Formats: sequence, structure tokens, C-alpha cells
Amino acid sequence: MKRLLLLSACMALCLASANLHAQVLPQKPQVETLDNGLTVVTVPWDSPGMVSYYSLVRTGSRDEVDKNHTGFAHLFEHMMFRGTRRFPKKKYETKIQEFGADNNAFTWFDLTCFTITVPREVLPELIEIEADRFRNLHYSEADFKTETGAVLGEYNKNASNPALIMEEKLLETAFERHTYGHTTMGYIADVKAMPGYYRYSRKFHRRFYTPDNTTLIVVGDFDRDALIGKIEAEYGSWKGKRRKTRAKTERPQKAPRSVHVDWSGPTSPKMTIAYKIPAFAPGSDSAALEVLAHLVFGESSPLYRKLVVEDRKIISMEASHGIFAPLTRDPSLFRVDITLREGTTFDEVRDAVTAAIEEVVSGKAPDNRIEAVKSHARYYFELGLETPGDVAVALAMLISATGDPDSLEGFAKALAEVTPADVTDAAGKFLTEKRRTVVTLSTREGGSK
Amino acid sequence: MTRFNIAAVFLAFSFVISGCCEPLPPKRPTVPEPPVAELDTEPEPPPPVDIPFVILPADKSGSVSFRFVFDTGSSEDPAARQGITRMAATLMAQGGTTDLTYPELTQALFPMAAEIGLHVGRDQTVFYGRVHAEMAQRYYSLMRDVLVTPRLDQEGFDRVLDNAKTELTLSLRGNDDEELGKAALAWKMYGDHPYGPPTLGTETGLSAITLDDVKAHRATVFCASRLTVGLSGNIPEDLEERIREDLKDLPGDCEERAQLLPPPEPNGRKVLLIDKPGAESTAISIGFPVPVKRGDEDYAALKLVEAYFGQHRTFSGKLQEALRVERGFNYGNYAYIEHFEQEGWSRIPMTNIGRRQQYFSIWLRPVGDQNKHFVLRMALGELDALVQNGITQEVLDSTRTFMKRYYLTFAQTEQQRLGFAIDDRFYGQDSEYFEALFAALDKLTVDHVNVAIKKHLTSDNLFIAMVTRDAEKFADAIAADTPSPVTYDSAKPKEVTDRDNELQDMKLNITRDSIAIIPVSKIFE
Repeated sequence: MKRLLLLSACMALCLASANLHAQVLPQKPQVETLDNGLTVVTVPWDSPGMVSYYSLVRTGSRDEVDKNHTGFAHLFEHMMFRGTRRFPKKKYETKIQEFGADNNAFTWFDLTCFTITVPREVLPELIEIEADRFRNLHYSEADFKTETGAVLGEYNKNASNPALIMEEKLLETAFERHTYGHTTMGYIADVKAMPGYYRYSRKFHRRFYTPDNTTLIVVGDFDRDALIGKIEAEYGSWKGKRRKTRAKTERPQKAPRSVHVDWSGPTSPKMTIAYKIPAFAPGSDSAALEVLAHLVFGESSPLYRKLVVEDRKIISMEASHGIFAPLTRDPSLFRVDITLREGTTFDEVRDAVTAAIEEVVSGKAPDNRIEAVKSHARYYFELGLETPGDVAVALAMLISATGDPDSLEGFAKALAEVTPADVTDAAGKFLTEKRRTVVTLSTREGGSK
Repeated sequence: MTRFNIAAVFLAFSFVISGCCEPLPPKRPTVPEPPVAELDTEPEPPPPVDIPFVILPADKSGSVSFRFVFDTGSSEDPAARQGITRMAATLMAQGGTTDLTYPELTQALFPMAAEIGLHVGRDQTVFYGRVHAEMAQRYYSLMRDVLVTPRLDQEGFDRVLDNAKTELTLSLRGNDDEELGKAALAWKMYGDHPYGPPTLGTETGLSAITLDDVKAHRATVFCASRLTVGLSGNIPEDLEERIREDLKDLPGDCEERAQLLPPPEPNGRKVLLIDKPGAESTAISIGFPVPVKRGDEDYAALKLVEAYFGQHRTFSGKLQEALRVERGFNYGNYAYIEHFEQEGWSRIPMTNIGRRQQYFSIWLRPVGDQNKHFVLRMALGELDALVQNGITQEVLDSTRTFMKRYYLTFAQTEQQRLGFAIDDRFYGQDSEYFEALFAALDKLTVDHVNVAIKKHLTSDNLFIAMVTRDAEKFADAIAADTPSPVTYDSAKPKEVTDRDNELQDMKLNITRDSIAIIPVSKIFE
């Protein structure tokens, strides 16, 4: 539902770094696993009276393996707000309102995350309600069909922005077999067909909404012993085992790919240049790619200065530092999104990007720039973790990719230890022509300007 | 929510609004004044401006937050130079300084993970940033140069102007129907009033602006007498004094802000359709001016109505329940009793977007083409029901409880707390926003709320803006009150279908000549 929340998640997380001796969080996350496989991760945080209670389900569009069922993980995120027999929709909302809860959710490739922040005094009652909706979700076919209308509405609200169609084209061009080849939102044809899939939705729930596939992340001001006791009491009888997802392995890409999209209305020309990269792991490759995003494409990079400021060929350029790329369970994409000025050709921008990467590959990136990137990452990380929600979402993203709550510290350490040779290596290995997919978009010939 | 919690969350940050020292008395001449004709000395400089500071220290914090808020915005754009305030502010923030080119400024900010944040509204403009405490002085030096000695050169001007034109003519018109709908509502509602054009300006206005215009305008509005400085977090001891000293170099002799024109008084329902061929769905915004602002007697009553009727991005609002939860028409439906912008991707209201005049609005997120007429009827029907029926004691009690907890999530960060505190100053309030609001909520009665609803809200006299395809056809259907039955994929409860049957033939009382149509390529020309 709130896909773009990930931007803030990544601001907090993906620039993660720290000096070698500093710990990212004041205390290591404490982990408790119940007999049924439910994991509870807790982090105390200086947020007087407030606590964030996030439920991470390690299921996203990666699990949408059935044909014509794209967008189902996201639809299911919506269904989780439709209530139970004990707390039907209206009663659930009344309770949430009474709590004053900031209650939301988002879905991505590898996860669905339910995000709640509340005053600490309502936490015990909140746990009862949350355990009830995870264990006893109940909705009628009519409710299901109504909710599919809201999902179509969400697609519609995004559709006036070219980013949606560009993302669809990028993924389906870059991936031939893996489920990362479609967006989390799903294709419009599949979204329109959703009202007919009530029975399938129940099956989806049984497959993936299980205790062993769920992690509760609690950050803020709470009594840990009381919290764990209450969670054991409320979630302990929840049963079920996650089904395996058979997402097909992507074959190695052997040649560059490209696709063009015509846009019917006024727009600046846009392009995305993406490269296949490995799955996220808190080691040197992911850390080096993180550094590369800033070093080559960031606002302080020579390429940005030349294209945006000096030559005014483009309006903006942003490399995804984790929005798509490093934080996925399976190999995915490192991407650069560029908005061009009218009159600039896609080819000249693509060539300038290639030349900038070759500079790094040939070892010409000055060491002091790499140090500046590491300094940036360190401060950005510290500043990004301000509220309990910031910490919870950062942990959710990392756990969704690795399953390991300690990977936050691991990634920070890897970033602090990245060397110029790692960066050169990663650029040479991953940001190559063979691994590249380019999507371009411009106003259709004769379209309104 | 108890007082204890309010104290814990907000009052832990001691709240200080301090003025500068008393201005020095003018110097007395020690010798008899020479005849005027022989005067060759400079005129006496004006006394230093007493810049107010809002300071929220938090010693345990690892960071320092800055907000430099000027009481100016696009409402001061001259009619022939619409967009100039935003141009001037953007050129300050993104044009470099006397000492540093823009790329050099970016390079200097980068290792600190800092930025010169900027937001330009109708009446307030804020430059802001947050840095690690150990970088506070270094960051401030850069911010100071942006404010006091911006470069303002032709190269930066050309780049920033080009970006503004692109954003207006290509991005706003072509890439985001929801934002376009909201901007179009202001355009329709306010017309020639200074709140009418987007802060981005108009095509004509932007094309007329020169670098010299920008320099002159900056000296008129971005000066010390219009500034409030906000600091929070782990503030270095001498920082406040340093800022006071430096900001003496700002232009100090701004003109008094001109009185705003009175807000428009809608007579009937006036519609603007933005004709966008190929639009798959229709974005709808509805609004009208209201005379109530923060601090006014009826503010808390209307704020409660907002939370009940359309709290931003929650499921509890009445509009959201009717349109999305029960009928699945779209993604979201909200209402506001003061200007609202969302902070980033959160649900949190942005601060320092204050206005001298306010308006009520409804935002309906895009609906499918086949349902647009019905949804318009339904939103106006719900508004009418609110105005006619008011609220009950039960609604008052539950909404009050909700607000006193939920609103605490609006001020979790240093920047948010600082922003609200500066807004208190903008609206002339001595009490902290949430404390004052919650105290006022406690005193509300159902009668007070319902009288305030009748007094300030209307479903008869308002403005509507919609971004849609087939605008001519839609305009004819609206004017002819063509029935707009809806169908669903599933059976609906009887109360839903009964209400639908009432609404599908509801007369909208909108004549064809009350409906203007503009092609998307022409709006904001």
C-alpha cells in the first residue's frame, strides 16, 4: 500500500555506515523466538511514552509465482485491515482510533510490513488486537471485492506519473524468469481481475501468513518482560508453516537490453539505467555498490556537476541506494533514474554514464572522494534513525532480505571497511554493459505538450 | 492521553522564545549640526533588527536542527512576476554563495550528509537543515552564506528558471494529476487573490522574471525584519550569539507586508474542469475560504470536525468510510480546515506553511471515470449531511480521545517540534500548539461544535476542481443532473444501496455556465 515509505526506510538504512568502533544502535537488538517460530526483535529507544510495533511478513511480490496473479501480496496487505469475527472492520477501526495509533502498512518485493506507532499505555491491548488479526483474519467475498476497488484506486493514483509504467517496463525487460520481473503493484489487467480471486486470496493467506514467516519488531519505550509475556500469551497458539516459494532463478544476462515507452501527455524525457547485481548481503559487494551510488551519481559527483550544473543536459539524476538494489533476497538491480532536458538525447546521457563508470573501473576515483562518501553515509545513518519508527523500518528491510537482525551492524561495519579497491572491483564486476537494461520515455510524437 | 504524557513528549524540551537585546539608542551628535547643504556623512544606520529566536534545547540529542523562517511567500509575487519569491529562494539555496559555487557548496555539505532544505509557501518560506551535533558550526557557516551572501549569478538563475518552467509546464501538468487538481482548486478558488497562482508561478510570470528582478525582490522580502530563527537539539553554547551577530548583515529594511485582499466569497457551486485527454481516472478537489485560524475561538471545534470527517490518511474519517471502506471507489478521501501538505511520505502535517487566510478543502483521490459523477455527488452529499446534522456527543468524545493520542505522533522529531513552535509564533500564540489544542478540545461541547459547523462550513457555496477526460461531456452531465447510478462487483448492505439511490439523482444545482473548462496545456499560462 505505502510503497514509497521505503524511500524513508532506505534513507535511514541504505546509507548505513559507522566508524569501525561505533555501534549503530545503542543496544544490540534482542531476539526471542516462540515455539511456533514467531520471532520477536526488540530495541529500546529514547522516545518517552511512544512505541513502534511493526509486524514483518517475509512475503512480497517475489512470492507471486502464479500466472496472472501479480499484485497479490499488496492486495493481501489491504485485506489485513478488513477485520476478524472478534474485531470486525468497524470495531477494529474504532479501537485503532481510540489508541490514537499511526497505523499503516507497505509491501515490497520481499516483504509486507504492518507499521503501528502508539502511546505505550495501549500496547497490551494493541498486542491482543494484532495477534487476533494475524491469527483469525476473516473477510467475506463482498468485503474482498470492495477492497479490490481500493487497490485499483491506488493503481489509478499512481498511473498519472510516468514512473509506474517505466518501472513495469524496466522489470519485465530486465527479468525473464524471476518474479522480480513484475511490480509490487501488479499489472493493470491483473488488478482489474482481482475481484474474481476470493478463493485464491484465502489460499495466499494460508501459504504465507504463518508464525515462522513473521517477525515482530518492537522499538521504543516499553517493558520488555511484560511485552514478551503478552506476545507469548496472545500469539502462542498461532499455527502454520510457510510454503516454499519457487521463484525461478534468473539466467545470466548476456547482452544489454533496452525498451522505449511513449507517454501521451506532457513530460520531460526520462530514462532509467539499471544493472544486474547480486542479492543483498552485509559484505563488501553490497557496501561497495552503496558507495558507488554516491560516488558516481550523487549530487557531489563530477558526473552530476557536468550534466546538471555545467552543461545543463539533464534536470536530475539519482541512483537507487537500496530502494531496489541491495536489499533484496535474490539478485536484483542497481538503478539510476534520470530526468532529461528537452533536446538532450538518451544516447549522450547513456554514454556519459558509461564513461563515468569506466573512470572508476580504471581506478581513477580519488580516495578522498571515497572517504567523503563514507563520511556522508555515517552521518546520514545516524541522522536517519531518529524515531522508533525509523529504527523499526530499517530493521524490517534488513531482516526481510537476510533474516538476520544483526545484519544492521554487519552492513555498517562493511561500509566502514570498504576500500577503494572494493569499489573499483564492484564497478568492474557489476556496472557493465552486459548487465545493463535501459528504459526511456518521452512524449509520443504528436502528443500534447 | 494524560497531561503526564504531553509533558513527557513535548515539555521535556524547554521552550524559549527570546528576543534580541534592546535596540541601542540613537547616538547624540556632540557638535552642532552643519547646515544641510554641507552634509556629507552617511545617514544614520537603522537600529539592528530584533530577530526572534525559538529555541528547543535537547541535551541528549546527537544532532542540531535549524529552521530559518521568513514571513514571505508567493502571496507577495507581483502580478506580472508570479513565481519570483520561489525563484529567489531557490536561487539562494541552489545557486551557491559569494565564496562557493553551487557544486562547491554541494561538496561542502556532502560529507556531513547535510542539505539546505527549502519550502516556499504562500506566506512563509523556510530554509532548514539538521546535522550531527559535531558538525553544527560548520553547517551553520554554509547556511549563513546562503542567507546573507548568496551568489545570485546569471548561470544559476538560468538553471533554476529552466527547472521552474519545466516543473510547471511538464511535471505539474503531465506527471501528477492529484497535485494538479489541488493547484487548480486554488487557482479557481482564489482567482486574482495572491493565493491563486501556484508558488511555482505562471508561464507568463516566469518568462518575465530577470536576474535583476530576483535580486531586488530578495532584498524586499528576505530580510531580518521578516525572519524567525529556530534551533533545536544539542545546540552549541555560542551558536545563538553567533547567528545574531551574522544576521545583522541581512537586508534589514523590508517593507511591511501588504494587507491581503479579502478572501473570495463563493456564490453557488463553481467548477473548473481540467481537460486531460486519456486520463484513466479523475482527481477531485473541493474547497472554500474559512475565516478561522489557529488561536481563534472556533479553531479546536473545526479541527475536531476535520478529524471526524476526513482525517488525512486514516480509515476513521467519514468520507473515507463512505467512499473507500464501504464502496471501494478509490484509495483515499480526506478533509482539512486549514492548508495542509504532507511531510515527505508520512502522514504528518508539514509545518511552517502557515497562512494569513485559511480555507476548508476536501481531497478525493482519483476515481474511475465511470464513477466520477456519483463520487462528486456523494462527497457533496456527505458535506451537506455534516452541515445539516452536525455531530453527536459520541462523536465528540471518541474523536477527542483519538486526537489527543494520535496527534502526539506529529511531533516526534526535532524538526517537527521546532516547526510547530515557530507556527505558534506565526499565529501569535503564547501556548504550545498541542497543549493549547488539547485544552480547547477538553472544553468543547456538542453545541459549540455544531454552531461552528453551521457558521463556517457550507455545501452550497464552494469551488470544485477536477482533472478529467471528456470534460465537455462531463460538464453537460453535471449541469443536466444526469442520473449517475453505480454498480458494484458484490452485493452491498441495504443502507448503502438506499443511500446510493438517494444520491444518484441528487441535484447538484450547478449550471452549465458555472462550469469552466481548460485544456491541461493551458492551465497556469
